[in-house]
Amino acid sequence: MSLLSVKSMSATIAGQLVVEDVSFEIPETGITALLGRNGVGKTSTLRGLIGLIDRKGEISFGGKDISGMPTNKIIQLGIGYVPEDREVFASLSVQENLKLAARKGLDSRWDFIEKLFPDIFGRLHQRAGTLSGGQQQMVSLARALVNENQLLLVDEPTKGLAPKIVQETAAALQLAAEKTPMLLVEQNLTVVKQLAEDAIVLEGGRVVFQGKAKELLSDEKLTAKYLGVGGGDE
Amino acid sequence: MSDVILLLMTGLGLGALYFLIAGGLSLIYGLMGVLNFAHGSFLTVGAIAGWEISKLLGGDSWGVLLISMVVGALVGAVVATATELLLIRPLYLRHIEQALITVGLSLASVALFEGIWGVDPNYVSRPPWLIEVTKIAGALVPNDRFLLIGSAVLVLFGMLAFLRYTRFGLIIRAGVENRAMVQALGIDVRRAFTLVFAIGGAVAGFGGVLASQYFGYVSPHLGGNLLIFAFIVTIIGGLGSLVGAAIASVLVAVLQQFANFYLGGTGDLVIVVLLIVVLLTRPTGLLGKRAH
Repeated sequence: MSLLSVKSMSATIAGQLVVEDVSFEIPETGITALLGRNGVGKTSTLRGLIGLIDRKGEISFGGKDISGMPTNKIIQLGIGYVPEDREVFASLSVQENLKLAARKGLDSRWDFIEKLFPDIFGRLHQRAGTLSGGQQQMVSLARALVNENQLLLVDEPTKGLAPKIVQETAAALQLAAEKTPMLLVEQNLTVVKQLAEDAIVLEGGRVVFQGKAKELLSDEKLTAKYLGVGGGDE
Repeated sequence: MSDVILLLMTGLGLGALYFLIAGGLSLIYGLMGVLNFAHGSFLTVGAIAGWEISKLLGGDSWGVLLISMVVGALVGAVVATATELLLIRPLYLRHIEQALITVGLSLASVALFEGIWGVDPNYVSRPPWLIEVTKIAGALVPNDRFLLIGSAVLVLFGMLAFLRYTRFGLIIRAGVENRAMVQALGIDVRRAFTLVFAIGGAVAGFGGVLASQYFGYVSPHLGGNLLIFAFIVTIIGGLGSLVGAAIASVLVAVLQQFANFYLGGTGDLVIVVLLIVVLLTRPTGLLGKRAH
């Protein structure tokens, strides 16, 4: 059985069609990578899933139809969302960012977060806007991980980060995915290779590949065709 | 010197009234993107409710004034909450329609108030101390200024404490910055909208009772007359910033008083010029973070 099932989802932003007709399933464990060239609608697919943009189609999560639900209700079912560009609340402190996100108080997952992101724990009272990009990414991830979730939606977590931080982020994602399945949008194919078991490729607002990540990434022709690269780094 | 002190205290008193409208306006716009043209009506309805209750209770004691203030705030909160639930919420995220419906409400409410309470000012009774003056460095300062200034300062700190120390305050601060992301953390941001409307309405209704003490009467146009300056204050202070609104309230009202006295009654003109200068040099206002 799949955790998340999407059937012919389309999505629009201000009347403009950004996701045409997407169908896929997310298994109950592990990391599934959502891949594709720039502008094929990966971020819009994620945003459509949780109702941040207008969408149509059948979307069911844990057997529940969520296609007509408002965003906050969907999230409360147990989804952690880490948006592209982090979107931390810049004027709030790190602690306030986490407090806001914690649906059942901070205590239960505090130790787990501290283990994953020791760096931001020394900065709990600092305004999130004054953190470095990498630290902001940690806050954004921590915001999703303070809750006991059924699924994580993570959008380009390593974008614009220094190589060392990319590795730290990847390690944190791997650890998080041991407990919670994840749909991961990621441009860095090294990270994808390292983390993802399954892969979905979008092209022109549609799914053109769904299968094992290894199968896709070990086939240079496929990677070149769908992702416009010859494998390896970006 | 005594002129300067009197103008300053009068400006601060008037600034207090501006703030009691602008504080709510600024939070409402900052969080929801709604330009609330009905906010003046919340003030008027609070003033009328306070006046009615003081007539009912009779007398000009502090106790009666205190009760009118509470009643004014409550009525303001109830009317504002009803406005949000019945008129604003069904038009979620349709900002132009939301602004238009508040324009309609403000016009209709003034007509309603005129129909019920007449177009003439109704004079309010005031505790005797408020009509007296206090001598400060040679200036005879009417005592009501102290009440206005003190009340506005209390409201400012009360609202800041609410924003800083409560979970709803946290949600509101985060929502002013990024509404969609608050929603994406599983929080129903619409409940915060209703609450912000209720708080804005309570503060405006409370301000209505104070305004009636300052002007000495209530009239259907009490709120509308103050609203235009409150809008200017909100924009100069920076939309969504409470402290910005407080600073701009004082700036606008004091400048207005001085220009009226020294520059031949050009107070309103000077304020509009100030607005233009701020918009040209600092479009987000003094403490505003970003435009929606």
